[in-house]
Amino acid sequence: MSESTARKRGRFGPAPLALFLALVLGCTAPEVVTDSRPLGSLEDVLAMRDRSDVNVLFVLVDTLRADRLGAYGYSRDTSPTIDYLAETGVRFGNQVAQSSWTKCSMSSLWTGLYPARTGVLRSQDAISPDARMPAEIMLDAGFRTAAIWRNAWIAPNFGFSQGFEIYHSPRAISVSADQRAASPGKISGSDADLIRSASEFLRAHADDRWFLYLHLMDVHQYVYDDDSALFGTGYSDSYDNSIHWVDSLLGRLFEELEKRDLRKRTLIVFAADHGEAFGEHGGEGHARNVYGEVTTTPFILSFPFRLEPNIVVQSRSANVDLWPTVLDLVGLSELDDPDGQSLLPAIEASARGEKLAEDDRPTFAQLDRTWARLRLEPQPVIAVNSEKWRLVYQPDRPDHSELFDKEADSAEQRNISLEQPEVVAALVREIDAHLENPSPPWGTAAHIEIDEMQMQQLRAIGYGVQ
Amino acid sequence: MSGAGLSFRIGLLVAVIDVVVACSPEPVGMPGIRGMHEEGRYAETLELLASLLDESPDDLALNHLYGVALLATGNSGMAVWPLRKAAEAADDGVEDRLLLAAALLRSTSSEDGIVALGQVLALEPDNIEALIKRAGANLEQNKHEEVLADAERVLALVPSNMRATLWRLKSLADLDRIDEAKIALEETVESLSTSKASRALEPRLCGMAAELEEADGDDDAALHKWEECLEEFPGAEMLVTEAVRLFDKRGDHDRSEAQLRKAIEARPRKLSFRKALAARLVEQERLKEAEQLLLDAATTEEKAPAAWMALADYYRSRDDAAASARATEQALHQMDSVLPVVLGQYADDLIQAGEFARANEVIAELDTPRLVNLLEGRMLLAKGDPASALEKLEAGLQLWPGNPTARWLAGRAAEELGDFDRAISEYRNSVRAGASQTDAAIRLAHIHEAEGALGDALFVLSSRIRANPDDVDAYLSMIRLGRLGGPPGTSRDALKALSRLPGQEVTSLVTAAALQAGVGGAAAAVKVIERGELDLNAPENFRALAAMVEHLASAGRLDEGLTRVLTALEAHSDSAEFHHIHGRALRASAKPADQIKVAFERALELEPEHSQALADLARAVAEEGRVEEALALYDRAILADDNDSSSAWAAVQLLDEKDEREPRLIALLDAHPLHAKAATLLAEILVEQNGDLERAEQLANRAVRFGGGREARDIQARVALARGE
Repeated sequence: MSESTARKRGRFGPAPLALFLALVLGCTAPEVVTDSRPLGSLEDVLAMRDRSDVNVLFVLVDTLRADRLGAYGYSRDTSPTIDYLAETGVRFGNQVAQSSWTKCSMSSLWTGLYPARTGVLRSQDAISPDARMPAEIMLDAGFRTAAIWRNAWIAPNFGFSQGFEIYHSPRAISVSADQRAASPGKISGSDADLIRSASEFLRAHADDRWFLYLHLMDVHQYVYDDDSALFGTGYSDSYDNSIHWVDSLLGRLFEELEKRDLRKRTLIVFAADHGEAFGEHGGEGHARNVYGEVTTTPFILSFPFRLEPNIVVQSRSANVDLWPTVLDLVGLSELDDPDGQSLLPAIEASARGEKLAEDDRPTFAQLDRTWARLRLEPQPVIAVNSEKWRLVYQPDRPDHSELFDKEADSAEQRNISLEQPEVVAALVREIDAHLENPSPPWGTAAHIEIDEMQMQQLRAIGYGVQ
Repeated sequence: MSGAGLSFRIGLLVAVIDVVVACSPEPVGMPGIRGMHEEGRYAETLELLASLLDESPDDLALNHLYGVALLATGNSGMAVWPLRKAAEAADDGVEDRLLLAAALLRSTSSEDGIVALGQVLALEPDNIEALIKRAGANLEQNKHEEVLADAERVLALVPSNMRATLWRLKSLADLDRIDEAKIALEETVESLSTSKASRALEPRLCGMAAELEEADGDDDAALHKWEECLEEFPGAEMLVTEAVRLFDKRGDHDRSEAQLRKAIEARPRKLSFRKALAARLVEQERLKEAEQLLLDAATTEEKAPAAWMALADYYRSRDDAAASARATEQALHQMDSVLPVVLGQYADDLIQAGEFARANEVIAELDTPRLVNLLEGRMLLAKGDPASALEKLEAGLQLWPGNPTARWLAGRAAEELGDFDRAISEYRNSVRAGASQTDAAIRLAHIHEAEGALGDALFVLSSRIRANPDDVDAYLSMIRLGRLGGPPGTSRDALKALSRLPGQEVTSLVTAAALQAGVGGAAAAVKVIERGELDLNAPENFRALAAMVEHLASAGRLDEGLTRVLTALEAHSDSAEFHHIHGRALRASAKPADQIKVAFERALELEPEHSQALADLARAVAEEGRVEEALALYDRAILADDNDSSSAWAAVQLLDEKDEREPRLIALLDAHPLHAKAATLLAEILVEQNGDLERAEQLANRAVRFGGGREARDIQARVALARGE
C-alpha cells in the first residue's frame, strides 16, 4: 500500500501556501449559484455576432459521456454546475463525437472535418501546420488566446497549439495530495492545477478580450476528492465521482468569472471529445470502437445572458459543427471547407419549435483499431448515425457489421444487421460516399516521431502505444 | 552578457521601479512584501499580493512580485499569467521574460518556454542564462541542432562553461558527428586536466568516450573503454549502470555481476548497487546470497534505515511477512521521522504475519482514515470475518478507489461470502488499478474459466502479462485455456513467450510436451522432451523426468519409464522427487502395492511435507481400506499445499457419513469457493437433512454457475422443490 501524505505537515510547505491555494480555488463548491447575468432571448443569441466584448471560454472535459450528466437525464446528481449551464443556455441533445480516441476526435473538433479528411487516424499523425485553426482565427481577430491542458494527445507537436499565444500544460502543485485516482496510469496533479492556472489567467486578462481553452482530464483519470466520493466504490461509481469533482471545480471557475464581472461577457462552450464504455458492448474504456457509449457526448452553450426557458436542440449534431457554430456566434470568419456547419439555424428552429430539413444529415464517427500499433495495417471502424439507425461498420470485415435500431433499442444491444440487409446496404453506401470526400485544403496529415518523454506521458495516462 | 552585467541590469531595473513607485502612491505593504521575498518568505506574501492585484490588476510591479512568489512556491502554472503581463508591458522585460520562461518550462511541454527564451535573446542575444535554458529545453525535446547551436554560442562567450561543453558533446554524438565529438571530448579532457572541478566530471567524461565508441558501432572498443573507466572509477554509478547494460546486451551476465560486486566493494554504502545485484541473485534463485547482501548493508552501519527498508522489501517480495516486519522494526528504531506509508506497510506485514495485537497498536498511531480502514479490513479478513472486512474495505475504497491491494482484498472477502459478482467486480478493479501488484488477474481468470467464460479469462490474463511480462503462472494459465478452446495460436504464442523467460527451460519443455501430446499423442510428447536434451537425472529437472515417465506410460512404454526413473535414482537416491516419480511409475505399471507405498514413503522420509507424495500414499492406503490412515495423510497433504483441492476432495469421497462429510466440504469450499462438485454435494446434504435451504440454494446456484453440469442442475431443482418453489 502506498500513501504519500507526510506525518509531519512541514513536508508540504508552510501552511500559508495551502491556505492561499484553497482561497484561489475556493474552499467549497458554491451551494447557491451566483448568476448576475441578465435574462436574454434568442434575439440576443443572434445578436452576439455584433458584440465586440464577448470572451470565449471553451471547456473540454475529456472522456465525459453525455448520459452521465443530470442535464442529459442521469439519475445521479453528478453535475449541478453543468446542469445549470444547460438549464440557462442551449443544450444539444443528440451530439456525436467523431472518434473515441482523443487525438482523432479533437482533430475533427478543431478543424470541422471528419477523421477521413483530417487524416489524423494513428498515433504519429498530426494536424498540418498549414491548417487554419479556430485559435488562429480568434488571434487574428484580436483575442488573447491561451490554452491550459493535460492530455499528451493534444500536445503541440501534434499541431494543436496553432493560434494559441500560450499553450500551457501545468505541472502538479505538490500540495494537492487529496485526490485519488481510480484508474490505472498516473499523471501528476489534477484538474485543480488547471483551474488554478485558469483563475490566474482571468485575473491577468480581466480587461482583455480573450479565448481560453481548458482541456480537463480528471474524468479520464477517474480522479476525485473526498467530498466527491459520493456514489460508491465500483468502477462506474468512481467515474461518476470524478464527474462530480470536475463539476465542482468548474463551479469554482465560474464563480471566479462572476467575481471578476466576466460572466456577463463570456460565452462558455462545453463539450467532450468522447465517452467511456462500461461493458455495454463487451468493452471498457475508450479508443477501441465507436459505439454510442463512447461517441455520445455533451455540447452546451452558455451565453453572457440567461435563457429561460432554455433551448434544447434535439436534431443530430456533431463535434465538427462546434467551431462553425461558435465562430458564427461571435461573428468571425469560417473554417476552411468544413464538413461541419453552424448550428445557429438549428438553435433558431428549436427555439421556435420547428424542425430543419437538414436535420436528416447523417453523422459519422471513426477509429482505426490499430492506431497505437503502427506495425499493423490500419483497421478502420466507422459508425454512421441517422435518426433511426446506427451502423457500426468495418470495411475490412463487412460481415462484422452491427446495426442498431435506436428507436426500438435505445441501449443498442441488439444487432439486427442480418434482419435489415437493405438498411445496412444503404448505410454502407453513405459510408463509402463519406470516405470519398476530398482531402482538406492544406493537404494530408503530417507525421511526427513521438519521443520517449512524450511516450512516457502517454503511457502514464493509460495508453499502450507501440 | 556576463553575470555581473546582468546583476547590474537587474539592480538598475529594481532601482527604476523603486523610483517610479516612490513617485506614485506606493501600495500598502510593498516594502514589506519585498523584504519578505528577500527572506525567502514567498508563500506568506501570496494572499496579500493577490488582493492588491485585484485592486490594481495592471500594476506591473505587483504582477512581477506575484509571479515571482508563485514561481518560488512551486505554482508555475499560475505564475505564467502575471509574469507574462509584466513582461509584455515592460519596455525591456528581460527579467520577467526569463521568469516567464522558467514558469513555462516547468510544464509537461516546453515549446512556449523556448519561445519566451527566444524573445529574451532577441533583446539580449548574449544572455547566457537564456541560452543555457533554451539548450536544456531543446535537449529534452531531442532537438540536437538547436542544442548544439546554443551550446556553441555559450562557449563562444564563456569557454569554461561546463554545462555547455557537455551539451555540445552530447549533441554532436546525437547528430552522429562522432569524429567531431571524439575530438571535442579529447580537448575537453585536456583542458580540464589541471582543474579541480574536473575530478567530479572524470567518470562522466570517461563514460562518454565509451559511449562514443558504441555509437560508432565499435562494441569491442566500447567494451575496452568501459573496462578502463571501471578500473579507474569502480564506484561511479553512471558508469556502472551503463557498463552493466552493455555487458547484459552482450549476454555477459557474469561480467555484469562481477562489476556490481566491484562497485559494492568500492562503495559499500551505496544501496542501489546492492539492490541491483540482489535482484539478479533472486532471478537465479540464489536467495541466501541476495539476503546476505542486503543484510550486510543494514548491519555494518550503526544507522542504516534505508538498508533495513530495502531488506524489508526483499522479504516482502518473498512473501515472508514476519521477516519483513522485523526488518521494518529495525528501520523504524533508526528513523528520525516516520512516514505513514512506512507505518502502514509495517502494520500490513504484522497482519500478514498474524501479529494482530501489535498491528492494532501500530494502526492506532496512524491518522489517515483511508489507510486505517484498509488495514483493519485486511485484519478482519485474516481473522476470518469477511463480512466485517468488506465493510471496512468499502469505507477505505470510497476514499482510495485506486488501491489494487484493497480491491484484491475486497474481492477475496466477497468470494468468501459467496458474492461472486462482487468478487469479479473488485478483482477487475484491482487489475485496472495495478495488474502487476496483486494476483487479482490470476484469480479473476480462474473464476471466468470456472464459469466457462474463456474469452474473458484470456482477456484478463493478457492484461496481467502486459503489466507483468515475467508472470509464469499467467502464461501457464493462458496455455491451458488456449488448449481448452481459446483462439488459435493462443497456447503457442504464450509458450513462446514463456520459453524466453530466464529459468523456465524445464517448464517450457514440459508444457510443450503436454501440448504436443494433445496433438500428436504421447509418443510425440516423449520426442519433444528428448529433443530438449535436458539431463533428466539432475534433481532440478525432476518435472521433466516426471513428464517423460507419464508420457511413456501413456504410450504403453511402462518399462522404459521405470528404467528412466531408476537411472535417475541411481544418480541421486536422496531426491524426494525422484522417489515420488518412482512411486507413480510403479503404480502405472500395476506393480504390487507394497512397492508403490515404499516409494512414496521414501519420498516422505526425505521431504515430509511433499504434498503429492502424501496424497499418492493416502490413495494407496485408502485402496487397502485403511480409511483413517488415508484421511490423516490427506489432511497433511492439504496443509502442505492449500492451492490444490484434489486431496480435500479425495478425503471427502472416502467418507460415507454425511456428518463426517459436511465439515470437510465446508472447509473445502472455504479454501476453494469455485469447487462445483463440493458445492453440489453440500447442497445435497443440506436438502436431505432438511437443513438450511437458503444456503443450499446458494450452493446449488454456485455449482451451476461454475460448471457443475447436470448434477448441479438436478440439485438446484431439488432445492427449489424443497423450498416449495
